[in-house]
Amino acid sequence: MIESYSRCKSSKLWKSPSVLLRGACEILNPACNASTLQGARYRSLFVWMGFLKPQLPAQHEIGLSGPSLADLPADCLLVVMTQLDPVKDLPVIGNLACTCRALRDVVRDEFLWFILAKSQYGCPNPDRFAGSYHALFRARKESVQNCLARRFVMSTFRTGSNFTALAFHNGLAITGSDDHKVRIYDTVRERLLYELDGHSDLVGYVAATGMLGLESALVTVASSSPDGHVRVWRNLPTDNPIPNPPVVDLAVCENGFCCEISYLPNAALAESPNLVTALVAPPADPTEPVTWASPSAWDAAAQTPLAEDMQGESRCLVALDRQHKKLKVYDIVRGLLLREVDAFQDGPAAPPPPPIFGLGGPAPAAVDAPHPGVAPYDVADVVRGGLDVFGEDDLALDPLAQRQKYLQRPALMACASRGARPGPRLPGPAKTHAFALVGCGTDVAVRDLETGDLVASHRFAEPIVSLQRRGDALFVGLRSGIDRLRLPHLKEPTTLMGRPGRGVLTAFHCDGKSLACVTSDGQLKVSQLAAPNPHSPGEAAVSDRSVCNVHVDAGRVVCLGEDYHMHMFNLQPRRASVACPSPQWALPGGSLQRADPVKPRPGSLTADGTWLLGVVWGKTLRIYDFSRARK
Amino acid sequence: MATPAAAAAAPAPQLEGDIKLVSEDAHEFVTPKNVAAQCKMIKTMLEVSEEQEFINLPNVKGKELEKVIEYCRYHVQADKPDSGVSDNDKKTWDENFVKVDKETLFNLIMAANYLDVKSLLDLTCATVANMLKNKTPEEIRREFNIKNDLTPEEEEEIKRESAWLYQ
Repeated sequence: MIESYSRCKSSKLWKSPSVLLRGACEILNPACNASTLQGARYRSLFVWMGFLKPQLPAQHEIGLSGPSLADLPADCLLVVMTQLDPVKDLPVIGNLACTCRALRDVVRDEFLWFILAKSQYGCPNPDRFAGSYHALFRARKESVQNCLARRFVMSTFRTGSNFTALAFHNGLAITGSDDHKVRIYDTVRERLLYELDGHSDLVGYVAATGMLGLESALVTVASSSPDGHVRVWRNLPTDNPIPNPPVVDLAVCENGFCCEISYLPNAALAESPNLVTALVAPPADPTEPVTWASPSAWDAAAQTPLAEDMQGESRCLVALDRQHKKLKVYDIVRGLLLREVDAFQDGPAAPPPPPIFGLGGPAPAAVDAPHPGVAPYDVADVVRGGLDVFGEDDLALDPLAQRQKYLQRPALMACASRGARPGPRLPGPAKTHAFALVGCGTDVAVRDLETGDLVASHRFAEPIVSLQRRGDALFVGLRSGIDRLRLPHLKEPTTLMGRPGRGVLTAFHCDGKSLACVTSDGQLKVSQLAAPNPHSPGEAAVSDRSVCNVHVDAGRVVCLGEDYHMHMFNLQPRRASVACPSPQWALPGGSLQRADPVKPRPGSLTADGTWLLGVVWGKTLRIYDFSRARK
Repeated sequence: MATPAAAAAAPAPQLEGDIKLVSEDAHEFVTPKNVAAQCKMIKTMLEVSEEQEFINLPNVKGKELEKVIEYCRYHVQADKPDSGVSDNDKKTWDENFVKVDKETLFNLIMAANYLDVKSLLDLTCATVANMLKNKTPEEIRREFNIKNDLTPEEEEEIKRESAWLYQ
C-alpha cells in the first residue's frame, strides 16, 4: 500500500493539474462510487486522489456512535502500526488483529508485508524496523509465508459450492460450480458480474471468448454439463452487467457429459469420449447443431485439436482414431470430413503418460485432475501418448496429414504456430508467408503455411517435450534439456540448458531474456540468454516432487509444483544466472487447478506487468497478482 | 549552463503571497503560500501553477483544515533558525495540539494523509498508537468503537497466527 501510494504521489501523472481537476470533478459524479471501485488498494488511492471519500458508513450500520478506528484507510492504519515499538509493542499488533476483520486484514496484508519488505527485500534507507523484525521473521518462517501468500492474493472469491470449472478471459474469471451455476467474476474490480442459471447438473466445463470495444467489453460464455446441455450466453457486457442475459441453449449432447468444450466465434465444440459435437451458431441466428458420430471409440488419450484455415474463418478439428488407425480432419462449420489419412501405423504401446504440462496449450483438465492446466499462450506443447493440444489459431493440418511418418509414432507430439489470424508471424523468404512449426516425436519441421512446402526439418536424438518460439528462435524442450534453433531454417542448433541429472524436463518457459526449466525431480534451472555463458544456469531446488509448470517474466520465475505449492523466485540482476529462492507458499484448501498468466485489462488500475492467476480447487477461487512480486 | 548536479542543488523557488484554501464544507482559509506548502500536495499544485488563487480540498472539512493550517503555521515559525523555539517546546506544543476528541483526531489523520503532511500524520498516528498500548482486544474495541465481526473460528485462527507476536 505504502509503495503504491508513494509511487503515485511521486509520479508525474498525479502531479498533473488536469488529473487533479478531473479527480475533483469525479468526486462530484454520482456514478463514481465505492461499489465500482472495491478493493482497499485502489480505494485508498482514489481517496487520496480525491475521487472518493473515505468510507465511513460502518458506524451507523453497526449501531455504534462516534468514530471507529476500523474506518480509517488501510494506509493510515499502517502508519499507526509503524509508530509502535518494533519489539516491545508486538503484542499490541496482535491485539489489534484480534479486534475485527478490517484490522486483521491490515495487519496481515499491509503491516507484516511492509516490515517484511523492508527487512527481506532490502530498503535503501532501512529504518528502525528492519533489524528487529528481520530477526523475528527469520525465526518464524511459517508466518512469513502466510503473510506473503496473502500479500500476493489479488482477490478471493468464495461460493457456498465447489468450483468445478474455470476459464480466464481478459481479466475475467468464468467458473462453473456444483450448484449448477456459471459465474463471471471481474478480477480487476473484485466483483461478481453474472450468475448464470440454466443447467440442471454441475457445470463441467466453461469457455469464453469476447471482444473489447470502444465503449465496453463483451464476453461470450459457453458451458457444458453432465445434464447433456451446452449453453451459450452471447456478448455479455462486462462494464455494466445486464439483468437476465439471454441464453442460447444450443443442444443436448447425445452422449451426455462433455469432456471438453471450446467456444469459437461461430461454433461451440463439445467432446465426449465417443463423440465430437460441433454446435454451429452463426452470430445472428443460431441453427441446429451439426453432429458427427465417431465411427469408432477413440482412444482415451486421443485429443482433438482445433485449427483454422488461412482465411481465419473455417474451423477444423483433427481426430485421431487409433483403433482404425486413421487421422480425420473435419470442417466443423461446413460439416465436412475434409481428409482421412489411412495407413497410420500404430506402434508399440505408449508408456504411461508423464504429467507434462507446459505453458502454451489450452490443456484440458478433467474435473478431478490434480494437476494445473495451462492457458492458451504462444505455442502449444505436450503429449500424452496421442495427438495433442493446439492453440486455437494453429494451423498445420495439411502438413500433419501429409507427413504421415509423424503419425507412425504413438507418442506423437504436435505443435504448430501462427495461422492467418492477427498475431506475430514468422517472416518468410517472401515476407508474406507464415510458417507452421510442427514437432512430432523426435522431429521438428517448418512448413510454409500457404504452399505446404517443407522449409526445414531437424531431428533430435530424443523425444521432444515441448516447443516455444521467441522471435526467430525456436526453443525445443527435450527430456534432458533445452536446445535452440534459428528459424525458419532451423540452423545453428545450440544446447542452452545443461542436461539435468536425475529428473527429466517437464516444462520450460522463455520470456526472451531468461530461460527457465523445471524437472520431474523438483529442480528449477534458470539461465540468462544474454549472459556470457548461458550454459551454466542457476539452479534451485523447488520441491521434493515434480514441478509441472513454470513461467518466467521480467526477472521473476513462478513454478507450480505437484506438492500444491506455488514457488516464486527472483533473479538476481547482478548475478545473472543465479536464481535466488524467495517466497514459496502452500495453497490451502486443495490442489491448484490451473494458473494463467494474462495481461491486465486496458484501463485497469493495476501496475504494468503480467498477472498470474491461480485457482484453488474447492469453494475458493484465488487470484494471485504476479506483477506485485518484488525484485 | 548549469550542470544537472547544480540544477538539482538549486534552491526551490520561494513561494510568496497568499492562497485561498477551500474545504469540503466551503470554508475558506486565506493562508500564506509558504505555510500551505507544508502540505506536499498543495506544494505540488503550486509548483505546477503559481498563479492559482484558490485550491479546493474536497476531502478535508473546515474544522480539520483549520487545525492543519494551525499546525503548519506554527512549524513554519518554529523551524526558523532565529525563532528561539526549542525542541522541547515543539514537543510540548505538539502534545497539546493533538489533545482533541477521537473524531477530530481521526479526521486529522485522514486530512494529513490526504494533504501529505508527513510530520502531522506521524504525530496523530503516534497518538493513536499510544492509546492502543496496554489494552486487550476487547478494550480496544470499546475505546475505538470497533464491532467484533470475527467468527469464533476466525478468532482462533488469528490467535494461532499471532502467537509469535506475544513471545
